[in-house]
Amino acid sequence: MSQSDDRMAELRELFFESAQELLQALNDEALKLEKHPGDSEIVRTLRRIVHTLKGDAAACGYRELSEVAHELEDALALESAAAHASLAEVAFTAADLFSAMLAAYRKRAKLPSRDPLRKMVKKLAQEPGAKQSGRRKAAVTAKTLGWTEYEKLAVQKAQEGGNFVYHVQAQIDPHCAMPIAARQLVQNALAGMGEVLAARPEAGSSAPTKSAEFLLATDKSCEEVSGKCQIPTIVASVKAELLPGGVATAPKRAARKTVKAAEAEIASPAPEIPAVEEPAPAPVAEETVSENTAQPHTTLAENILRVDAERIDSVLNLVGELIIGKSMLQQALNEFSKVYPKEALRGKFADAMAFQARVLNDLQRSVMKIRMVPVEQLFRRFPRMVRDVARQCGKDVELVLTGQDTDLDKSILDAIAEPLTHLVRNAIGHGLESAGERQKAGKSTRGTLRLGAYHQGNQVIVEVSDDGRGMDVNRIKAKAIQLGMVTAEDVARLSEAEILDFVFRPGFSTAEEVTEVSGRGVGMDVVQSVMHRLKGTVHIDMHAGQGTTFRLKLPLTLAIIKALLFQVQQRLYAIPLNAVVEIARTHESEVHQVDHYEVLQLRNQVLPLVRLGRPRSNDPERGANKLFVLVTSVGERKFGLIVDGLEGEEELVIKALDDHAVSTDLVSGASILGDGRVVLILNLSTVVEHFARSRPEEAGAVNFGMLLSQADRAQLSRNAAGGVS
Amino acid sequence: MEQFAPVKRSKDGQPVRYLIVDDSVFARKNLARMVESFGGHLAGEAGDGLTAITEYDRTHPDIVLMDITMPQMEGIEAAERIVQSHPDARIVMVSSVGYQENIVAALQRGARHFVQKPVKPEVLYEVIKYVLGDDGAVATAAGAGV
Repeated sequence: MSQSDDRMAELRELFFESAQELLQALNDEALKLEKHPGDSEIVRTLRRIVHTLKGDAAACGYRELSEVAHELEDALALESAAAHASLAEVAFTAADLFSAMLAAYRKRAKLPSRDPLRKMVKKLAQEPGAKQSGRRKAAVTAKTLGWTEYEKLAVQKAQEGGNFVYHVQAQIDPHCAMPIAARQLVQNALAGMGEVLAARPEAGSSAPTKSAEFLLATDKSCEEVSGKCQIPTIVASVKAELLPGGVATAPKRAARKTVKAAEAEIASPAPEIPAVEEPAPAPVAEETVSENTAQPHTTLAENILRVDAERIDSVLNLVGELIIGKSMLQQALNEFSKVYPKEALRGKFADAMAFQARVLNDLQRSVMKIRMVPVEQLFRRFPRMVRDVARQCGKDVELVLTGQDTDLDKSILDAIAEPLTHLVRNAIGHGLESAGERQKAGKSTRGTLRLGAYHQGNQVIVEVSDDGRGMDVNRIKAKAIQLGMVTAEDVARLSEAEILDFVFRPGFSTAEEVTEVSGRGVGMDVVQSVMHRLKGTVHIDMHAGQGTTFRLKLPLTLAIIKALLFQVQQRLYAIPLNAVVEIARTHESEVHQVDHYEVLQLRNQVLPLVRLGRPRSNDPERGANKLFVLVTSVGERKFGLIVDGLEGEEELVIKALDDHAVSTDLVSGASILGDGRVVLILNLSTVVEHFARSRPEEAGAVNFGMLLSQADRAQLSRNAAGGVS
Repeated sequence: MEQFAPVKRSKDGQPVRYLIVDDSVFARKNLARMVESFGGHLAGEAGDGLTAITEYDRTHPDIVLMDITMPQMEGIEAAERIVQSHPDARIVMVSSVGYQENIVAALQRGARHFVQKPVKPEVLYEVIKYVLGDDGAVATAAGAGV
């Protein structure tokens, strides 16, 4: 039994996943409906989504969810409901409730109340003009009906033709919820044996009668006929009587009038489908049209394999090992070439390795592609959120999405969901003005919020931009001073970009009042810290009165980076290559001091310097010492890192470091080179932040030795204390 | 889950081959699990009517379990088209009570049977035995029969 329990658990897991898709589709359709109220196509799609959810939930044994979905589905079938103004609202409420119920099922927690939705659904149904009478009346009891003159004639003809004519009475199984279909099935079974001359209720009648009578002309025996009609789960009992001789003995002869009366009586409980019509084909034709608006998930699901992300990671990890192996080979070949510079085999080796490298590259790219998902997956949750938040704030906001098909590593996508949500909420809450304010400023009353993604080199840029009032630089300044993040005199020297960066500091919020929507004083620093973790950056582009853009720059993947390797104190370090703007060679004498910081005049720019290794030496010939300066950009700011020597460019497979293994956040990971050396990968943004926050008190005490061990640093600063100018 | 005596094809004793058509992956899995518990074999799956037709042509299953409401092409139309080109196709419609008219329509167009969602395994089992008729045989060898 435990095996089937496992299967059930697996099925439930699948259900939760697919239900999530359905809810997303529900939200999407509801949003569409809000834009095009009364669109019957959308209502049909809504109904189908709810229907699928209902079925899936029922199969999983989630009765409550299935029931309320069923009620909603029924209500959506009403003509009046389609035109109902609040239908979109009902759909939103339903999506929220279903989502809450799913969460509760998952945690085995208490289910949320279904009453609010039920009330709304009821209201839909009660609206004047609602034609469907809800529950159909109980089954009409068995009753032998009369045959028409025409039918009697047919019976006579059949008997003359040498057939037996049977009067077949079938009782539909009381558990069968679809008596009409059941009757059709019985008729099909009979038609397989001969000719059905008459049927009561008539074929296609929508009366939910649980008994049926037929006149069958056949050459089969009575047992065969009743045997064929014994359809499991459909027919409870069946009785076949041979009509003797002429039709004169047909049961209860009745005049045409009586028949009509009887038909009318049966048909009345379901007036929405007049019994005279052929009811079936019409709805079919309609439904087929609505299928063009297929839900994305259903078409997607076809050729898709669900694979545990861990498995892909392990493949990627192996690819990483292969890449290390490749550089090992390369290394060996280089050494080989040095020893046997004339050896002809070298060329063969080089060719084979070039080929291997190319395949390896492709392999790496394909594996990485597996992890890539379109940002659509993340973006599509925003329309609903923007609508809700805008409504809460009483603002009119249009959301424009671009670049949804931009691919991004799944883990990165998951990680930026929260920061992005914060940024969007903030943009609506603070960025965009109210309609009145906008009008005064000469803008259209409807605010625009753009959410976009695109590739830029080896990075993906995700932008959240609004056309609101922009950020108030002076207020940020004041707040930063008030919070003691900066002194009043320092702030005067900061650029606008630097001032704006204060909003990412923990505890910073200029919102006067804390609202549900935004301004809880947390959030922006979350954005920053997530970006650090992802080795990405966030940058604010702001034009007062015209809007704000938050630009998140993200690496394509977390697993493999192109890096620049360098040495500090004979140790090997690396930084992501895309952060390096240029490499400058200069002399110690070119380094100047401004305040307590070292700077370098690089062309017409003043570049703050960070010494990663030992401080400037006291050597009299120090002026002649050559320096390597890595000019790096972090966000919009540039820094020069002074390093001891350059090692080269390399593709690094990042191995995550245990929290226990590193005590500093300056290092974000490590990698192994082909020759077996270990290289630490620096987290540039934290390096720069450390630098920016440190405030050397005494004149001339410059920043250095960030990467030195405590003991080294103490030693060096003692040495340096002597005579730094 | 309940144990069912496996139903095999009477002509060669091989497992009955099923084509499962439903736009919900979940529903497909669920049905597949059931037919496998009947000793059946999943010949193919489809998420819409059009695919169902091509899958039928490709796999020639013994039984098709067909949902009614699907994107691209409804189950009824798919059933009709399959029956048109393969009159011996055994199609069982799978749908909820709300789509009774559609089931009736499908039955009129050649579907052999129907089961109601949520599908109960014991009901589906009976339906399948019925639909297979003489072409299906309940294997007696396997332990507890129903």
